[in-house]
Amino acid sequence: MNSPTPDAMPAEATPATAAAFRGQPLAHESAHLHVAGEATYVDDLRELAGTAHAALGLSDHAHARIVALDLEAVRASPGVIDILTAADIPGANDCGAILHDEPILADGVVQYVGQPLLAVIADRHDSARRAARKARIDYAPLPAVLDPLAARRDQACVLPPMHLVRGAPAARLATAPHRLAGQWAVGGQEHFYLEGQVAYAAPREDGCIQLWCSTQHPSEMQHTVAHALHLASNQVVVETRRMGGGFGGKESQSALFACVAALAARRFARPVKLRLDRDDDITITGKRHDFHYDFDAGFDAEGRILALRVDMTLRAGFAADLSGPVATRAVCHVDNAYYLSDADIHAFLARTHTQSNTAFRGFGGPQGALLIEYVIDGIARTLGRDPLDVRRVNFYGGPGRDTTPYGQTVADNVILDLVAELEADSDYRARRQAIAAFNASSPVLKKGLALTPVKFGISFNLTHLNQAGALVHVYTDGSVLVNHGGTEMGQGVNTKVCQIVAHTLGVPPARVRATATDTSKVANTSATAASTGADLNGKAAEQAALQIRQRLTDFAAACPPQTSALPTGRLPSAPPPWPSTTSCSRPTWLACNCGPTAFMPRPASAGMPPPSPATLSITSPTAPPCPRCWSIRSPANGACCAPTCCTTPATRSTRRSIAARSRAASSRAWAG
Amino acid sequence: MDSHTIRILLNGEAVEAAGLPPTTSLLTWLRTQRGLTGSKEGCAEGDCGACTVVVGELRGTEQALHLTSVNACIQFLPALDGKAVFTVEYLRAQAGGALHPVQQAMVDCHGSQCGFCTPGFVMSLWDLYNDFVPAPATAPMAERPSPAAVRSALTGNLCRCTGYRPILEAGERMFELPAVALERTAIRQALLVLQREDVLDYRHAGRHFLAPRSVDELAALRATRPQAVLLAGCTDIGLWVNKQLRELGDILYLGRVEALRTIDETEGWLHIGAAVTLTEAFAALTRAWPELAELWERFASPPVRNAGTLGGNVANGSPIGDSMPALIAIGARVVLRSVRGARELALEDFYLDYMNKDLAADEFVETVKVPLRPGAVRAAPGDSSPHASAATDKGKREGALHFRCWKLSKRFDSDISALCATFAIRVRDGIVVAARVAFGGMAATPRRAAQTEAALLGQPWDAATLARAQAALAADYTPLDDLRASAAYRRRAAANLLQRFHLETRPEAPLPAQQTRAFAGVADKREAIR
Repeated sequence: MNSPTPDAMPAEATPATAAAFRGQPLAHESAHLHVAGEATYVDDLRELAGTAHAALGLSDHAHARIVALDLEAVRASPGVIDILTAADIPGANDCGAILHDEPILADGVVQYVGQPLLAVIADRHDSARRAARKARIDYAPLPAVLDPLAARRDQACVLPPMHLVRGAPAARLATAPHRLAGQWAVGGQEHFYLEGQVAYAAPREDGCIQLWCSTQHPSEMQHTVAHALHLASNQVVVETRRMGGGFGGKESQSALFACVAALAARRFARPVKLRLDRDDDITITGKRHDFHYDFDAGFDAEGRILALRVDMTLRAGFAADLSGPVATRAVCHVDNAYYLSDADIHAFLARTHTQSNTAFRGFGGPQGALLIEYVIDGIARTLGRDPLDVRRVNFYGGPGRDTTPYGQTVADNVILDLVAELEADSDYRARRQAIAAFNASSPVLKKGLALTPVKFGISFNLTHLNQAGALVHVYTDGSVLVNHGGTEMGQGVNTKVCQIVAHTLGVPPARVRATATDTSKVANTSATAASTGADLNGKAAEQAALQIRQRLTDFAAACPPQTSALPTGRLPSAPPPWPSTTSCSRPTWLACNCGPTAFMPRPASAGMPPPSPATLSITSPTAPPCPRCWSIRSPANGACCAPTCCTTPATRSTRRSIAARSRAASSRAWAG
Repeated sequence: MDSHTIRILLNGEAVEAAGLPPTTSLLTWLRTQRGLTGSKEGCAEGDCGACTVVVGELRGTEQALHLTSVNACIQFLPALDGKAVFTVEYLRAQAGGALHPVQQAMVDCHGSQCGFCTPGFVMSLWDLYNDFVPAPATAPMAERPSPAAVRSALTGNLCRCTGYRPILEAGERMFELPAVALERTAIRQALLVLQREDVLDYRHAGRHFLAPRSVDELAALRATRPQAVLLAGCTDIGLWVNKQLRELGDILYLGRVEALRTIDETEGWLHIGAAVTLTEAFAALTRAWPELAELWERFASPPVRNAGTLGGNVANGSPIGDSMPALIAIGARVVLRSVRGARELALEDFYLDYMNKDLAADEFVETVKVPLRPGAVRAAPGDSSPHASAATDKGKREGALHFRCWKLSKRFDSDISALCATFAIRVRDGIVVAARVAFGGMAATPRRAAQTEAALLGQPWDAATLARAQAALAADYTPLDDLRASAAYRRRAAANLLQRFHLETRPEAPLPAQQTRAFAGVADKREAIR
């Protein structure tokens, strides 16, 4: 894909060639660019003439009223063009992701050390940074709450507390044979995406803004910028080719920088880039939420949890940002892989005068799961049992032990078999014994061993966000261009989407290129987050490709045989390889462009992981895909075309014969 | 006289630079003036390695080409005058447009994900590759680096996506692909043309960047410019500019004074010139004191050690500088130089208070003198240091030397010490007859633990003495609470390290390192690359 030498691929690839890429570990679509330093990130774009550079002036106080702002020294600093403060924002001074509680530039009050309160625009990056530090600010300090537990005592929160109860936890705790209660805490974490936050905005005609931004959520950047500039969404175009890492830190928190760059570009009618120094980035942006736990567990002699009470306090920071969904996810992951018949789970979203904490890989899930793992280790210690044995008696099981505290049935539960296999494969028991022997003989150093499961719910809890779109172009030379709503941050979403499109159209991956994510191509996208990027956008792209394929099939079928552009007799799981330009004699090849195709799975109930692909609802113009492996089925006999389909509990040879039948049937179909 | 122009061999092409502040970083110049955006800015303080480039220079009387990786973000451009700079963009050109084996190996092994750190990794691997792939038409490839050496070569590069395994695999895979050797002869020839004999005087906006060639020239310049910043490796001063946005004024660069870049061994002492890099200094130090191997491995990262100097670490005098506790415990001395002459003092006497040194305005550190192993050391009068024995026989009479240096930091590699402890004692017939204990991170300066030493001297090296020494240690220091460690942690950890020292060196049943250290041997396995 995006290979530097696409022509190296045979133009007339055989079906075997196309199929050979299916399921193969292809190199990242940009790998050859990464290693050569040729992959462009926002700061690598050749600057437009007249580009100015912005830097932010930051608060020195955790909580204070701004009494006076003396910017004379800033203005006099070499290279300074102008300064922006909250008063210069024509629209909403807000970049909050969900609530409108997060100013772009602090207005009157600062709420954490490092909060941006002005932006300096200068001729060079360095002059802007130097000038920004020269502001003389008079603060009237206000009481600052830096400790989440102190915030909790004050009932200071960014959103109302959350509470999930099932069964009769208080009563079961009171009667439990054993109890383990205590407090625990887990710290926060800096994302340290290697590429810091950066946004580059250029004014366009009629008040429009073009924005290049390192973000996981171009649509939200578009909306936030439009609100701040008092523009319509159709006046703001956001483009993201790739990020140098995101990890959740660029899901919502890229908005402030996008807004400042866009505000400056609009106001000074010139391109403006805002690239943060690493120290400023770490000071300004939110982290993973640190959690404090108060827990009480009741259990029996085997370690089976009879009741669990957990009270979590998480540091939301000064604003809500994504703390609400993070807390929801934490609440929904306290069970991890364990059945909790009687549970009482609280979450308090403490408002502190610190950065507004945000998404970070796992999004509260790890913080929820960590607690119960800690409790289980504690139970094992209390009872003197092996922790794995305590885990095992608590795992989700069959009917009666298969619903989560939030009411979802745990289907396809493989935890018991999986752990049994891991225990055997890893030689767990023998290694425990070896470690015990080592510890007995080693006076200073001690070793340990743990086997810890994870159940994790992918997709957005807010189910309407589980949607995606894609735009697939097929050009007259047979090359394919894919655009979709996902953003590339190293996870390889473009690689996968290209691979899906190549597979669906039956062309070698080298003929398929992914372009930058662009709000003017696929609109109203969800953030690339919640482990959804490849699944949702991949299915959208597949849908688009299927539609194109169907149109081409129909067209080919209508062609007189001697002029048919499509080779006959080749239809494995995907249509035949794309013909090269020379083999196409008809100008009607031009008409194979399909508009953005939306993909939205059937809504899931609240708190549930997304449905597995098998339950996704999708309308296909061709025969409905195979319900298990999602491969195309032959329109003739309905057989699944994938030679390695997971559906058939059949032997390899049976699968092969199914594939062979389907090839024959498909060929007939294609031959018209 | 007009300003000199900076002349650099950039990716094989001689180019000039002028009209920029002397504190312009090599990275900024590459990215904004040369359009070479392959090298990235990740942290701008030499920690993440996304900006890693390879610098070549001619060294010694034979003007041999010497290549090392450095962090472009903290190198001032004028310091590159007369040197070769290779960026990631050079590699495909070198390989005739195809991917270089280093690059191809990274692709083959899925060594890139977001790709932002990748050019830096590629350049660190390229530096390693060039050490093992000889010039064309010479002998076949020397032995390949061990996996541990590959790991060590990459400790200056952070990756947040891959978890490193595929990158480490690429570091081995690259030697399996058809070799592409560097045209060293052509590079050396091109560099010879760029060499200047005079003092570089690069000026911008009234500020000078001066690169003298001799110690006398440096002393004379220092006398007339006592306010100028003395610059050697730029690994700390680069941060003054990038992070504190300080205006440095005139700069005197030591890196072109060849006499300060040499290591001599005379009369039982190592004389390490002030501009000798940490890489070269530790290679010599660990030959004499192998117990410092782990400190060497964990001292910053290869690109920082390749630029930073032992003289700079000592002269900067940070309380958490990693070299000083060991040097003080060994009994190192510094030679200070000015137009008035030279004077010498014990390193521990050089540090007066926090970042305050016994250094006159016209003086600079010329040499760090480090005693070699006992037996070859002539004792200075009144010197109580454990190594100070005149002859082998006397050394034996004075008992066995035990020496350990341990650093505690949050990360194993490339991190700043929370504390750094060095213990040196001599034990004869079970009695401690000499003791030098020094800590970094426990006080405003790197400092000896006088009360601890007193508690050890003349005592049997047993548990009771250990307990008294641990109590004394608590009285020796009042450590700070800061982001690296709390005062309580530092106190406790310092006492625990003393206990570890006892466990490893006690006369009765000493424990091997494998039983006292979780990471014992990690550094030893990563053999030195150069």
